[in-house]
Amino acid sequence: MRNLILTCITLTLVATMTTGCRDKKTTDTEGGVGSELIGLTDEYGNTINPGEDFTVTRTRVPGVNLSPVYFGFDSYQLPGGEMAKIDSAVRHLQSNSRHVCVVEGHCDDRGSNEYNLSLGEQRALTVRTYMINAGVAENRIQTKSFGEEMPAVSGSGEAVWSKNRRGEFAIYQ
Amino acid sequence: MFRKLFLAGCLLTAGLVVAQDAMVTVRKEGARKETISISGLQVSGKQAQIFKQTLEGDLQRSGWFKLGAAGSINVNGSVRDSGAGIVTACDVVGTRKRFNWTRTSSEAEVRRQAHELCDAIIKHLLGETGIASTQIAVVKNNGPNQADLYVCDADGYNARRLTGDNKAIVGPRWDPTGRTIYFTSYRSNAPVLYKINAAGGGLSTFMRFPGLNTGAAISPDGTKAALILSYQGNPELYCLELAANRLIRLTQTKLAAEASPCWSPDGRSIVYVSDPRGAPHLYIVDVATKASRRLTYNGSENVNPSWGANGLICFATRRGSSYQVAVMDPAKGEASTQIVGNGESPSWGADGRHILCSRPAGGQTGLYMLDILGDPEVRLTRFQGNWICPNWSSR
Repeated sequence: MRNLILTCITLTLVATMTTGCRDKKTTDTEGGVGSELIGLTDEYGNTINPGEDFTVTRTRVPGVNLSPVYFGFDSYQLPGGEMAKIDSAVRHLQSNSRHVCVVEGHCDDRGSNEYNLSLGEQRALTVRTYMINAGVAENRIQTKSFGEEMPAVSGSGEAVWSKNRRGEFAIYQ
Repeated sequence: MFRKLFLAGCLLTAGLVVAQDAMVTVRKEGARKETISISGLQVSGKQAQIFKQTLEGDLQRSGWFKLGAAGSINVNGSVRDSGAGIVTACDVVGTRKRFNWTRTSSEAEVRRQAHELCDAIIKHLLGETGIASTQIAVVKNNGPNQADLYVCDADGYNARRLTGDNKAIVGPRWDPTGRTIYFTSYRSNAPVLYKINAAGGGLSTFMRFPGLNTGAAISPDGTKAALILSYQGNPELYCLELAANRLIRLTQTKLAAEASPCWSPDGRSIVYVSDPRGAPHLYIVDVATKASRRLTYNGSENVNPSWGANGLICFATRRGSSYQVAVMDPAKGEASTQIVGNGESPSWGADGRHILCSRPAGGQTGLYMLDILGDPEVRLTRFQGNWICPNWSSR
C-alpha cells in the first residue's frame, strides 16, 4: 500500500514536470535553462538533453579585454587578418583553465532582423570552430547571436556597419 | 497589361473568383469598386459617431468599396449612445442579398463592433474575408537592444503594449487562433522564445535551448511549431509536435543558416530562408518527407516569406540597395514574381489582397499596407517612431 502511494506521488510529479515543460510562467523559468524542456524527445523517441548554458549557470569574468573579430557584408567567412584576435582568445582559455567562452555574434542593421539572428549565430559558430581547431575543448565554447540588435556603433554607412559585423568574446567562470 | 494578367492570375490562384463573370471583370481591374452608402445610418451620440466613422474608414480601407450618397449596397438604420455604450440596429441591403445587424456594445467595444460589421458586409455581400477585425503584432524599436511588443487593430487604433522590459524583440508571430503571439526576446539577455496572450498577460517561456531560439510559427491546425534552433551545432529548421512534445529536425545544412519559417495554408510545407551559397534565398520543405527545394534565385537577397491563405508567398527582395515587397505563386515558380511596393518584413492580410510591411522613411520606420490589386498604399499614420517586424493575424 505504502509503495502504491509512493508510486502515485512519483507519477503525479513526473506528469506535472512533463506537461508543464513549455508553459511555466516566465518568472518560474527565467534562469532555469532547460527546465522548460523536460520531456522533449527527438523523432526517434530519445530524450533531448540541451546541456548547460554558460550564460545561465556561470558568472561573467570582468576585465578581460579581447578584441572583436570583424566580418565582411553578409558573410560569416573569417577574413585572414582576424585570426590573430581569435588566437589571443585561445591563449586566454589555455592559460585560464577554469574559464569558458561565449562567442557573441553580431550583424549590421541592413536586412531582415530574423535572418540577421541566424547570420550572427553562424558568425559566432565560425569563430568557435576555429577555436576548437586551435585546441580548445568543444565544451568550453558556446555561442549566442544578437543579430542586429546590439550594434557597437550607432548610425549608418560602411564605417559604422564594418564595426558592427563582429564576433565578441565573453569570458565566464 | 502584364500587371493585369498577373492580378488575374492571383485571383484565380487564390480562388477568390465567384461564379458571376461580372465580378471577375471588376476584380481584374482592381480600381473598380462596389458603391456603398452608409448615409442611411442615423447617428445619435458621441460613441455612435465613432462607430460610424470607424465603419467608414474600414469600408474604404478594405479596397472593395466606393462610398457615396447612394450605392448598390445601402446600410440603413440607427446607432445611438446608450449610456454604457451603443445600440446598433441596421439593415444592410445589397442588390441580391441583405442581412440584419443588431448589437448592444459597451463603450470599449464600439470600434470592434464597427470592424465586425464591415467584415460582415464583405462576407455576406461579396463572399470575401475582411481584414477590419484582424490585429497587428509589431515591435517598437526604441534603440540598441531596446524594444517592446505591441498589438493594435488593423486600422492602427487601439495600440496596446504587451511587454514592459524594453529589450530587443524579433519576429513576433500570431498563432492561428489570433489569441497568442510567439516572439524571440532578449529579456533574459539571450535569444529565447516566449509566448504571450494578445489580450495581455500570460507571458511564458516557450523554448530555451543554448544558442538561438527563434521562429515559432504555429501550423494552421495549431498542432505544430516551426522553429529555428542552433543547439545541435548551427541554425537549423525544426518542427515541434506540440501534443507529443517531439522535436523533428527538418534541415541538415552544416554550412548554412536557416531563418524565418512560415507554414503553407495546407500545413504540409514550410517556406523558409537559407543561405548555403552565401546570400539568403527562399526554400520550401515538405514536412512529411523533409525534401526541400530552392524557390528563388533572382535578387541579391530574398527574406521574410509570408505564405497567404490565397496560396501566394510574399517576401522582401533586395534589388540594388533597397528592399521591395514581392509576391509569387510557388506553384508557378519564380517567373510569377511581381514587385508590389517598397518595404521589408511583409505579412499577408487575411483577405489575400493586402500586405502589411515596414519601411524606413524620414528617419523613422513606419507601417504600410500595400494592395496587390493596385489601390494606393496606406500608411498607418498613428505610428510615430520605429515600428518593425509587423505580423498580421489571420483572424
